[in-house]
Amino acid sequence: MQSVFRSAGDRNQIAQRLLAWLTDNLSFFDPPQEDLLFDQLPEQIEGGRVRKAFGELGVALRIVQRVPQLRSMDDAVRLRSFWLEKVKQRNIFFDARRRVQLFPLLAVALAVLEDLGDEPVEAKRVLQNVLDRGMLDRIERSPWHKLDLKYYFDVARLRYRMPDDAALYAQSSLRHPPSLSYASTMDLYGITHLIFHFSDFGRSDLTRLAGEQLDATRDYVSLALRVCLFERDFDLSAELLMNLICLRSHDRDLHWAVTDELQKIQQPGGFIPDRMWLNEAQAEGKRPSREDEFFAVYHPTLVMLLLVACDIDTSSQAAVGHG
Amino acid sequence: MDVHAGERPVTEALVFGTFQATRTAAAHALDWLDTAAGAGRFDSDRLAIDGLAITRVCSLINDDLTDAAQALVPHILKGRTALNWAASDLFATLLALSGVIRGEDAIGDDAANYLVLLRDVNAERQGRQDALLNQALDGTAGAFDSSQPVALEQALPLRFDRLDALKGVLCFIEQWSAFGARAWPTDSLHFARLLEGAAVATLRGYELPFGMRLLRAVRYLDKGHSAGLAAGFEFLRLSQGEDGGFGDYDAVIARMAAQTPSQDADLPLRLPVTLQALWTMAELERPAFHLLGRAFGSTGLLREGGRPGC
Repeated sequence: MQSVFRSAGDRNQIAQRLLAWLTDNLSFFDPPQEDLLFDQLPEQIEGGRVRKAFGELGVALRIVQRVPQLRSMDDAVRLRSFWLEKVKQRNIFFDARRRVQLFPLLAVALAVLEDLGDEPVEAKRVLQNVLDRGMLDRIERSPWHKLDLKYYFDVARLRYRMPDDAALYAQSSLRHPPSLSYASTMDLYGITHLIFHFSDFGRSDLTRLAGEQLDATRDYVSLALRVCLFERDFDLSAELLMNLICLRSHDRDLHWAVTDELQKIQQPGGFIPDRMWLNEAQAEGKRPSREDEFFAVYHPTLVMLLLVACDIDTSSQAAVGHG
Repeated sequence: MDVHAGERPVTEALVFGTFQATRTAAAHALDWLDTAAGAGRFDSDRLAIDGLAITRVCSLINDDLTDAAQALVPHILKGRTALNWAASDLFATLLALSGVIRGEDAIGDDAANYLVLLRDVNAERQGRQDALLNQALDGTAGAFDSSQPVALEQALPLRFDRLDALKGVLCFIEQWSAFGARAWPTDSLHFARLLEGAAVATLRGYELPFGMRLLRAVRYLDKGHSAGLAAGFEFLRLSQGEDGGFGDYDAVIARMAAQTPSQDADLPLRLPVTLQALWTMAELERPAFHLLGRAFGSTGLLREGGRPGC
């Protein structure tokens, strides 16, 4: 699988600027001090945007960890140290048996810890406890949301009751994708997440699940990407391009068309803007507060970092005969 | 038709040339016109021209409809022997002319005279002539600049917020290819695929005429099958209403009716969309189908008409 970027140099420069922005904005990723939150009933505590951002940073760092040339960059080292330190300092698994609404985020955090070299024995015991009590079984979830959890349960080696990948795939929107003329943004995020997790971000061949439908899936994702590129939705464009990496696409012209635009749209500070940010910047010509800007753009910025990591990882895997 | 889980989408077989979906759509559209004509709704020249254009397209798409389409002409005209042919857009007018100039109705003389007028206007134009008009008048693509097309890549990236640039590119593709009559000389598949993305995005925003124009431009660049063209075709096919017309404009129609109660808002909105939809479906479903070539013939309408003054 060839890189989706025109040059390794371009890719490297993009990555350095992304990591620099993330490091400059570390304070916004800092989660609450969990063992000081006494005002709410544990069962009523919800994730919120800061915990979500912290968790997503962990997701990105886990994939960065797969790529030696990325994980050794100074800013990547700083980010990883920050994240691991905050897990402990903020006591994120505090009262996890009762803070059931935080369970999905904590499961992801546990998986990230496993792959970053930590061994969270106690946290794992607690989360397994929650699963054993059957808290997941009472909530109806789509195949997408089930897979979002199952993927990280598998990484964290937790025991759970859920259908296997083949059954989830058969029930998912990948099997019968929604018409792109009507598909909503959330529908497309469902598709992207299904592909990320079924393929382990490009490390696993989807043919085992998709079989003869793989080509049609690739065509669908390719068309969805071209729609999002026209609509200048760079977050979805980056996710769909990552999907094409996972699907072993060889459409170099399309890959470069997308990465050229992503490179151009990367802002001087290093972040990747979302549509709302672009619209506001164009319409009003003014910047929002630093905090508002962070929460508007951190996600597409992390997605871009994931794209770079996925690209290098799958290219390397292919080079040694794994892809 | 009931759709069952696992059933292959209708489009997959049809895009490759069975033409059944487009033929069926044409038949249904003709029913719509018939009902409207029966209710006397083609009372303005513009509506009559659009209606005549659609009957012509229906008969070109589906030979079985030829007699029914011809029979509809006098019902649309309701005794009129002349029309203000400039009341509608050039495309609809030329199609309508091509339909009546062959018939025995008195309107044929009026049509022939208008064609002569168009010929004179076209001849006076300095520089580039219009590919649509040339094909209609004498069946040729015209003396368009035959040098290699400007590299389409110069128009990249395609963006929803730079539609003027995109329209310029479409115009270039339409004129250079003579709306599909002339094969595109270079491998522009990458550009065609990007154009598809723009087409589907535009249809998602319910900009139907522009979306259809984009789909046709893809076809002019690429005669093959693609997921994007299949998606666009399916969207159009499913946009046909139960009455046979295309497009859902209830809110716009209701607003117009509230502002001008006595005015028919449905036909003025949906006739042009229906005309474009049938044209687009035909050329997507059967790449070898070239509507303008069929409508105007290899020698154009001036020769076909055989009327005084031609």
